[in-house]
Order: sequence, then C-alpha cells, then structure tokens
Amino acid sequence: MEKDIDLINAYLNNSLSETERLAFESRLKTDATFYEVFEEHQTIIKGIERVELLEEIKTSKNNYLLSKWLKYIGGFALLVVILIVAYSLFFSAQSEEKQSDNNTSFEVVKDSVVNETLVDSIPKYIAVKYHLEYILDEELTSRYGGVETMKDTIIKEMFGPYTIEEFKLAFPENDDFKKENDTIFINPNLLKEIEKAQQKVQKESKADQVVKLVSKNTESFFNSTKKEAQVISFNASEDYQVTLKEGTEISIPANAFINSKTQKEVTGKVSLEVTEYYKLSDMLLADLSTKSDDQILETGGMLYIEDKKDNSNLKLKPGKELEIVFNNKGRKDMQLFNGDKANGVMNWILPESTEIITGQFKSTSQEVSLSSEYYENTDSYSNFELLDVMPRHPNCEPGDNEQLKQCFNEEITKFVARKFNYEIGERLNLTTKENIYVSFEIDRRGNIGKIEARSKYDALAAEVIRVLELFPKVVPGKKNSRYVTVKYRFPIVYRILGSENSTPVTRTSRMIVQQDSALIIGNKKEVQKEIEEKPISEVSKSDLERYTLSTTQLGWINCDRFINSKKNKIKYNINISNAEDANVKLIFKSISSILPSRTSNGFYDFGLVPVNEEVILLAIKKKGDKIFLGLKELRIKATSEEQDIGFKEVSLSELKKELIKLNSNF
Amino acid sequence: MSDDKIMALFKNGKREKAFKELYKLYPRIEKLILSNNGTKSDANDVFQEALIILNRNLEKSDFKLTSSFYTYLYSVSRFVWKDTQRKFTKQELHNLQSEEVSIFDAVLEEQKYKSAEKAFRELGERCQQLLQWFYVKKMTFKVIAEQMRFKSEKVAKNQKYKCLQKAKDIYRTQTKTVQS
Repeated sequence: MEKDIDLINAYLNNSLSETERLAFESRLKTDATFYEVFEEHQTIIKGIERVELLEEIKTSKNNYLLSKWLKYIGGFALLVVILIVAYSLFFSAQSEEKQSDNNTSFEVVKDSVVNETLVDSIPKYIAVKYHLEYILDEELTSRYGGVETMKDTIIKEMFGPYTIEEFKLAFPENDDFKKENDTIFINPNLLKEIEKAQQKVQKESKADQVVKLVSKNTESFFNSTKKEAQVISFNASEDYQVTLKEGTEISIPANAFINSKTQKEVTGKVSLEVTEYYKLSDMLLADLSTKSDDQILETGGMLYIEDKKDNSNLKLKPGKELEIVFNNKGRKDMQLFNGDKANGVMNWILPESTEIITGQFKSTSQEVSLSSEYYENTDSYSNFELLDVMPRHPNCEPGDNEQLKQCFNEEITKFVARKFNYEIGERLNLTTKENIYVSFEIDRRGNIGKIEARSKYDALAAEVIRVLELFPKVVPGKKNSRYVTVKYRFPIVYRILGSENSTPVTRTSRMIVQQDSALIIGNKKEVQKEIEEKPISEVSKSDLERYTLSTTQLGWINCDRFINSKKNKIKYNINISNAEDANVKLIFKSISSILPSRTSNGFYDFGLVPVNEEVILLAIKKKGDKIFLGLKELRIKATSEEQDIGFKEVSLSELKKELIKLNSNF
Repeated sequence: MSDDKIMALFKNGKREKAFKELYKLYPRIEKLILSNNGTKSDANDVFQEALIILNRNLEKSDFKLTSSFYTYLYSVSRFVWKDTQRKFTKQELHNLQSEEVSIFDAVLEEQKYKSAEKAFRELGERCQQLLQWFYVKKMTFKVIAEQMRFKSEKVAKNQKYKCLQKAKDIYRTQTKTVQS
C-alpha cells in the first residue's frame, strides 16, 4: 500500500520516467482499486491544499479591507486639509482688508473724569479707544520679504471727546453700541468711520503716534515705517493719466488689467496704489536697496505699484504697458528694473523688454544698430547657403531658415541695443556715425566665441565685445545632420541721430533698437508725437531730465542704471562687534546707491564694492521696543574692516528726522 | 486593475496580490447572496469558495478564462450558493449550457475537497503540519525530519504515511455518513 502511495506521489510530482509514467497511466485504466486509491489520494491532497489557500485568501481579504480603510482615512485627511486650506484662504481674504472684524477689537471707554453712568439725556464725554490688531497674511508678508507670520499689534489711542448725543449724531448708523459697566462696545463697522473722522487729527499727530511693535523682527519694523501708498481710483476701460505727489507721471492704456487669479479682463472702477520713493529717507525706511545681482545700481527713484479691484489684485495684461515718467533730476541712461525681494534683500532685475526713451526726441540721440548686411559669411567651414539648419536663438520658434535668420537678427539686435553702455559713446563725444565691424562664431555647442571687433575707437570695440560675450547659448547650426560652427560677420552702426541737424545739441541720450525702428518704438509713438508737437523752445528743462519708461509688470519698479565705475572693486565686509543683528546698509555719496548686506555673526558682507568711495554706514537695530540708530561716514579702503558704531537710542520720529538729514546726499 | 494585470499576478505566483484585487468584486457578490436569502457570512464563504475554484482552474493547463473575472466569479458564486441551498431543480440541471456544466462540475468537485479538508482538520496538529509541509510546501523528508525532530527520514516518511491514512479513514467515514 505504502509503495502505491509513493508511486502516486512520484507521479503527481512528475518525477517518473516516461516508461514508468505510461505504465502508471495504463494501470489506472485497468486496476479499479488502484484508481480509487489514486482518486482518494488526490482528493485528500487537494483538501490539504485548501487549508493553505484559505489562509492566503484571508490575508488578502484583510489587506483589501486595510487598504480600503486607509483610503477612507486618507480621503478624510485630505478633506480635513482642504477644509483647513479653504478656511485659511477665507480667513486671509478677510485679513487682507487689514481691519478684519475678527481681529479687531476695540472699545469705547467712558472718560473716568465724567459721570459714572451714561444716560442719553445728559451729554457726557466719552473717550474712543481701540486696539487694532492685524495679522498680515502670508501673501502680504512674502511680498514684504517672506518673513513668517507676523503679529504686529498697533495700539492707537485716540481720545475723541463725544457726548452720547454727539456720538450718535456723528455716527447715526452705528448707534447700536452696548454698554457694559464703564465700557461701551460698538459695532466693529464703526471703526472705519471713526478713522475717517479722526484722520485729520491723526495726520497732525502722526509723528508722535504711539506705535508699539510686538515683533522684534526688524522686517516688521520696516513694514511699519513704510510710506503710505497713494490711492487713485479710475475707470479701467479708458486711458488714464495721473501725476503723483512727488512728480511721477503714470499713463495707463485702456483695458490694460486682468485679474491675477481669474485672468479675466477687468472693467469699471479700479484703484491704483502707488508709493513713490525718491528720497533717501523714504527708501531707507522701506528697507530698499539698489543692487542687481552683484552689480551696484544708481537709482533714479523707485515705485511700488499695486492695482486692485474690490480687494483682488490685478496684473497687466500681456502686451499692455504702463508708461512711467520718473521725476528724475539729470541722470542719464536710466533703465527700468523690476524688484524681487528674496531673503529680505531687494534684488533688481532688468526685464527682458525694456527700452528707454528720454523725453527729448528732437535732440541728438544715439543708437546702435546692425546694418542690413548681416551675414557676409566668407568662412570655408560653413557657408550660409549651404547650411541645412541655421543657428537658433532660444527665444525663436523653430521654423525655416529664413525665419530663423530673421529672428536671430532681431534677438542679437535687441541684445546689443539693450546691453550697450551708451555712456562710452557720450564720453567719446561722437558726432557722426561710427561703424564697428564685428565677427564671431557660434560653435558646435551653440556657444559664442572668437569675438572680434574693429572700430576707430577702441572703447566702442571693447564694449561690443563685452556685450557679445554675454550673449546666451543658442541652438547650433546643422549641416548634413551634424552640428557645425557658423561664422558671422557684420558691422554695427553707432549713430548719433539728428547730428546732421544744425540745431543746438542737448545732450540727452536715446536708446532705441533700430532694424525697424518704427516697429520697436511702437506704442511709444504717441508719447513721441506729444513732445514733438511742442515747439522746441517750449520744451522745458524738466522734460529733458525725465525718463519715459514702460513696464509690463506691476509691483516694485526701479528707474536705475548700472554703475560702470572704472574704479577697482574689492570684496568688502565689515565686522561690527555690537551689531546684534542690526540691518546694515552702505549709502554711496557720489552715486544714488544703497547697498544691502548679508550678515552672519556680526560680519556684514557687501559683495563687490568700488574702492575709495565715500560712504555712509547706516545701521538700524531693534531691541524690544527700542530703536537704535548708528551712522558712520567712512571711505572704503581695506577688504575687511572692524567698525565700532556708536548706537544711540531714537524714537521713531527722531529716526525719521535723522534719515531725512541724509537726503541731501542723494 | 485590469483583468490582464490580475492574470499576470497569478502567473507570476503573486496569488495574494491577485486575491486582494479580486476582493474589490466582493461587494457585488455579497449583494447577490444577500438578495438570495443569504447572510453576510454566507456571502463571505461563497466568495472564498469561488476564489478557490477560480485558482484551481487557473492552475489547470487546459483552462481558459473566456469571460471577465467578475462574470466568472459571479456565476461560480451563484452555483456555490444554489448548491449549498440544494435548490437545483432537475429542469435547471437539464438546461445547463456547456460552460455552466463545467462550472457546476467544478463546484461539485470542490465539495469533495472541502470534506477532505474537514477530515484533514480533524487530525492532530503534528500530523497536519507534517502533511502540509510534504504535500503543499514540497519539503523533503530530510528537512522535515530535522525540523520536526524525527529520528530519521525514514521515521518521518513512515509517520507521514500513517497520518495520510488516518485522514483518508476520517474522510471515508464522513462521506459514508453523508451518503447514508
């Protein structure tokens, strides 16, 4: 019997030889008892197998149930997260109004000198007092430098004597206040009206206003000292022009705004909030500095522009531009920079498409252009006509060779016109056009190389080489499906416009991109016409000194120029022993420039700084509620210096006065 | 997960994962049983049987799944449930289509195995383990002897034979009582 079982096992395990297997199968057919044993054996084994299978199914089932529950839990967690986000969004939308009802608690305290009870019939004096507490939401804080949530409690105390009768008369819609002992709680909506009523008083007493800062953070300190914006309402569907308090002119084309969230065009009444920063003190109080990456800028004024409709932020529609005329005094070659605040330090970035046109168009202007004889390719290794694919600038769409060629021309023209330092031409006192012959190669990797330039004036040639060295990497040209080096050769024309004209020359520069000047000047034509219409004699001096700039972006805008100082530059850092995390800046006396610093352990790093400059070292630090100011004049000599700054305690109004004193340096 | 992917899991020996996927079909099978006077635990048992039958068929080289897993499991479950209820009329059995016949056969076969399982479960723990190791896990007597501390392979083999015979005895008496 046992032998039969062994045999069956061997058969089931397929370990029998071919002949044995055949013998086994024929025995199954002939031997009925053996067949029965075999069947029975199989049944038992399958029964045993079931035990294992059932075990597996049970685990699978449990796993299935577990994952199902995890899904439910995960879904629930997601729901919770969504609810929190939705709640905080709702909440932040409220707090952006800055005087959200939730956060505002204020009370009307009855003047203690006067009567104990408030009876309508007898006029009694009450004092209006309220605490205004607002939490800047994340969006706001990040705009001001990405500080974590700040809680500034600003307690304003205004003692407005009112009788109950007067109070009711002044605020007829808000007479539903409740009396509780000697405190009256009013409908929070009243706050706005009280503020309105008190605004005059507030303005007069502004300097002495009690501003308590709970946060120790200097960022939040600067937020509190920041200048108030001017709010202008206008109809977005029409062209609009406005002159601000400090002389900035802004013209806004019709239908220029879209809602930054919904991307829909905005019509009707919108409000423009602009803050002007021309004075050094205003800039310093707003923690502004003038630096673009590692380069120092000289500023001709900064603006912070925000556009709103019903509390939602707007942005400029692509293709629309704001014309800004900066109230600028005699600085040339200004460009528009857009601000980007990272780690508390403002970095100004030159946007892709800015051109500068100074106010005077009839006067002498310079321009740099590429002549039409672009590619005189004479080189043996790739002739243009023989190229399969032309090199392509990253800003260009792939297309046929003619399109690529034209687009490449446009890009390189724009690039040279934008980066060229026009002061060089001015210094040379050029009166006629100058040709600069340029040749370079775009190698197989798309890099520009072998740049050569020839000109009567070495400075012009050197400047063109400097500019072209900055030219970005492009997609290289192809021949026989292999990347090849392509040689370019063309003249660049540096021309003083209007020099043929015998009218006296006013030295204001104009920077335009030639090629098709009508096209590129484009929407600036109107401005041009406007000024052209004026007889030359009537063009006032201020017109000449102003800059019409256009911007495609809102937010921080700076009218600046790069400092192309010939002076040697050094890496400059200062060790201030008693700094205690003060905010330290360098103010350059010869140029309107504010340099921020990066700090660690009392070391303040300013990056590359021109040597031998007279500067003012300005340090502001906060300890608790006290403000300390440190000022020191010095001349930059050594790379690393020890400095002791005598900090003195100042009140906010004293600080402002001290900073205003510095304004003459700009 | 698509049927193809589940099939691939079976082929790659990832039976547990495949079962887990198939459990997603359970709620629909449960509805079937509940609407036919069954309880939730009935539904659970029926679905287990259906999965076992599916697995057995998949292991057969000549089996081909002609419909979706759901359709197959649904009809198997229906047969299993009707069988336990003994509600098949002669007319119904007569009218079965060929595919249904094979399913019905499989269900009846499985009934046999189920009673074999029951017999097996009546064995002592040691016997159960020994048989499982040899027949399911395909362990050699040498390993089994070591693990279960038998004196030798021969003793282990002998012991296995005895256990198997015992299970068969129980099984025989069971089927007799069912038949009588």
